[in-house]
Amino acid sequence: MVGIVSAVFNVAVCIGVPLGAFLVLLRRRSGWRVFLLGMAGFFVSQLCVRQPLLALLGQVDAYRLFAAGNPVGQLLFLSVTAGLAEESARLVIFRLLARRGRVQHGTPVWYGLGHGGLEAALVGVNSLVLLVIFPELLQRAGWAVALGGMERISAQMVQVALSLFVFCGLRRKRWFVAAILLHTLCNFMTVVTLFGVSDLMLEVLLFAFAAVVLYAAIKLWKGEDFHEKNLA
Amino acid sequence: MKKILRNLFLWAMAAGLVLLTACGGGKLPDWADTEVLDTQARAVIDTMNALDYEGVAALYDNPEITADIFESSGETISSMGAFTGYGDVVYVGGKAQDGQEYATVIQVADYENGKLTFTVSFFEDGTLAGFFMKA
Repeated sequence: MVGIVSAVFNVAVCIGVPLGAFLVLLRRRSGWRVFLLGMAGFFVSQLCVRQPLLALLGQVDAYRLFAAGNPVGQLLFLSVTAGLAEESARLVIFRLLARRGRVQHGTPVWYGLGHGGLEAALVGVNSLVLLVIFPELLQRAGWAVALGGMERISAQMVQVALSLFVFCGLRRKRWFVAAILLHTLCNFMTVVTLFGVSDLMLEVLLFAFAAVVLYAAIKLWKGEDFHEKNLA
Repeated sequence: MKKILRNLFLWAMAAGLVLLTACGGGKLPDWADTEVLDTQARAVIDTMNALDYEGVAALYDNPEITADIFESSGETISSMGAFTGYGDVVYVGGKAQDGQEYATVIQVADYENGKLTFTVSFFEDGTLAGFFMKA
């Protein structure tokens, strides 16, 4: 029963929250296009560019040997490439919006919700499929199923924070670089599980990291002047 | 805030460097001969390709390792189609928790539908110290 409740929690967090955010924006008639652009940014940078390139790399013997012989190095490589791909997409889209004069103060928040929302939805769909087709698997897994939803809460916070950093990076490049490094660090944190740290403790660490990064990003964002002439 | 971020980066980089150093492959033990290791590793992989789980389990000097452990690996191998040949290989050394040295062969194998990476480790007496496969 705990596993089923955990999966319902995952679906609520991973599908319900992004869908709810989109509906609110749609009702307010502002930000919903940027939300969709955020989804597109994730879709193009990860699913159309990075993942196919990694699949091709997986056919290279030297990379396979590196990955098998040095899992920490491989995780670092995957973390850096995720940061580069996703943050570059974010920067390109923000720049395009700024050039067209379509930037508002809330733009990075809406983008982050869309970007992280699609990422979360992919996890949510997985839980939904398990709920419908293999509920007995969820029952066996128990509360650990909820870790996926917990992780998405932290990830969504980080996605909004990174969008704020990249948005500030339109004016000062160092914040764009900071976003790549923070994204890398966030993904690389899973390395602790290779050294015996439990999945639950990893989620606690990720949440603490997300809270600090989001706090820093909001402070930075509030202190910037985002008049369009400064961004284009 | 900049100070917090800078400290965060510095600590993360230091930790990353330590972890990378700690996890790199070690030197092969003195007794290890790469030609012999090659032959031994390929014999294990051939046994797996033949889906002979009992045969792989018998290569361990450990009664707790039973044939059923290898069934999921066998399913993956079956899904890869016919074995077509061996790819690149590297060798690393390591030490078990009891201090016993082992040599590891990381071997790429080609199949009709893609590649698999096998990590096969041996103790000095030739018994299996570990067997791992990655799609």
